[in-house]
Amino acid sequence: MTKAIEVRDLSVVVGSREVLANVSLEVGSGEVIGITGPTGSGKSTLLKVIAGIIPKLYSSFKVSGSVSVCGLSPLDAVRRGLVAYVPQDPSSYFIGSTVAEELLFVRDLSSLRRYGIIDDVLSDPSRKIHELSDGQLYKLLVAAAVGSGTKVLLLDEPTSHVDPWSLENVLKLLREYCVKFRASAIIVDHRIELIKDYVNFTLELKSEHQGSAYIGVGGRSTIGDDVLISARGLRFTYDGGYFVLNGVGLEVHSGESVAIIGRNGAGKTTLIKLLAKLLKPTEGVVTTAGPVFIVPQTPAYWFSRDTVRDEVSFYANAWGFKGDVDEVIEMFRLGDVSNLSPYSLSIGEARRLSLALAYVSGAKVLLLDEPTLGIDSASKELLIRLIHSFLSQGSAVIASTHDIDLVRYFSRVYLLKDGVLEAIRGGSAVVA
Amino acid sequence: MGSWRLYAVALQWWLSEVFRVLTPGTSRTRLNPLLVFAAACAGSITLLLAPPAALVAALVALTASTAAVKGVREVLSAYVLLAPFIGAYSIAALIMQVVLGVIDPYTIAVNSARIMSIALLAALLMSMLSTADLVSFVGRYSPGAALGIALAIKSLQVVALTLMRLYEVYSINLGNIGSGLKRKLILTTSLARAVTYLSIVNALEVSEALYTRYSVLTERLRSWR
Repeated sequence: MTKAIEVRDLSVVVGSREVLANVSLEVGSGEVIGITGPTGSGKSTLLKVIAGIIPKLYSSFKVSGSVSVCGLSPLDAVRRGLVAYVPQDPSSYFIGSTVAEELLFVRDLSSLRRYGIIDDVLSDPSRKIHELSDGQLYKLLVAAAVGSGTKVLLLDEPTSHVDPWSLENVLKLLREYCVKFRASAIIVDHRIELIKDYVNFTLELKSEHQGSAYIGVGGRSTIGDDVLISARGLRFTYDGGYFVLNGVGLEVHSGESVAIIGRNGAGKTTLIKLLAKLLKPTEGVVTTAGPVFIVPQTPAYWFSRDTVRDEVSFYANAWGFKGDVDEVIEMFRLGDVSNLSPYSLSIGEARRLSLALAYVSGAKVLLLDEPTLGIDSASKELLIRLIHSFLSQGSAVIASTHDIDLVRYFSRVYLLKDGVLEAIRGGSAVVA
Repeated sequence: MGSWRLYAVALQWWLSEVFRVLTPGTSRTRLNPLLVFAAACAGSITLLLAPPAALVAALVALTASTAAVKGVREVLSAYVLLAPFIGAYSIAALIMQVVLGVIDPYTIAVNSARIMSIALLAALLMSMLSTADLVSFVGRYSPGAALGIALAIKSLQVVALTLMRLYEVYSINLGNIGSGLKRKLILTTSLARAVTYLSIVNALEVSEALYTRYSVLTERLRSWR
């Protein structure tokens, strides 16, 4: 029986760096597999080789070994429309601006209707693609795949954009699709704990560049009397109707950290933007005592300099950082990529660079929007140490997050639900 | 309100207006793509050749039509979008006139009105054009061109959205440095660089995804012939 995907002794070299070494893999029809590994271990490269993107679009990559997809070479499989590669940002996969436009490109809509795959998405075909939730984006993606006869789906880091609650639905949908249509899927992700229940098996790629994270923590943080950020009676509506936030009050002192959790669409990012004064509240007032730094969820890549080193130096100069820039680069494990463009970094490295910029800012208030999306466990440890470092120097940290594990490290945790903040006593209470 | 805050608010407002104007199909009225194309060509040529008096009438008529079809808010958005370009043109033209020793504000005003009427016409027609109709119409003749149009329209919106999101980050993270003109210059140049870089990365990501879909897409578009 022909395997859907067969990879034998695959090695990929770029310049003098070996990205993949002798990787072998077999995926049968109807199977979903997970590939995990730390940042820089070659996960995305493996997907792109199977999709035929490497070396077709990137000729500097030297590829050896054999790869077959549905018994064909990757290029032939792509030409027959058997493969769909979905980048980290799933919206990049779509060509149309609206659902209706996207469905124009689908060969066979009848199977979608027959299996009721996208009934909720089809209910309003004029919806803009960028307004769809992550769950709906993946539904539309599966719809496009089903309607186009795709047999191999390759997903790059879906957890970097999908929250854990939506992810469960997305993975169930993928699994059903693969079983029902005898298709196969490879999900590349470093957070295997989130996907392990939905895959047939997992493969782990190792990295030679994995190092241990460290940041010197300057002593225990103590919560001071001075309020660094305060929000009173915040109400906010985007369109004059439904109030996303309906009476939020929050005071954060120096040396204090606050985590805000909640489902997609609960208004966490809106609250962060209000605290940053990027949005004007419909009612209420926000006051801050000192400079603010924000690490955004999207875009993950928001840099403006030619190299990683230049980027860190630029922010170090801008914020009057007195320390050594090279030390900061090493501290955030960016030494190997310091002379590369920030836009050539993996998503995990880009997030680490964002954290490095936050570190050199030494702002009085640090706002983090979904800081753990797209990062591996070593980078998460780095994030936790960064938060401690801010607190020990008397700053305040506020984070919106889906990561139940992360909230353990915060002084206070709130659940944002129905437009108001509910105080939670510790991370375990949230799980319960 | 300090000049920095005023500048930041104005820039943010302008970006949101850009996004609003660049979204096609915002009006409830729909026109056939061929009709839109013919109206765009004929209308632009007429406006380019129109005498000044007719130009004023055309500008009033286009403003009224846009308000009727898209709403008064959309007219305001279109004017806000055009303001920096008209402003830059007027200043450059005035400098040239001073250098050449021929001060002629009348010509500058007429040319500005011409640019504004053509842009208003484009915004009006774009609002009545469904991209889906346009893509299926062009796809009958050239699948590649149809794909290009769909991607170009999507890219316009993605760039406008990217610009807005980046602006939000930069106004906070670079809002504390320097003062006055220096601060505005740093923010604007950094924003321009980041948008350029990020647009290239987005384009690359879209290309990679499109690469695996291309054969199916073109086959689908050919089937419309």
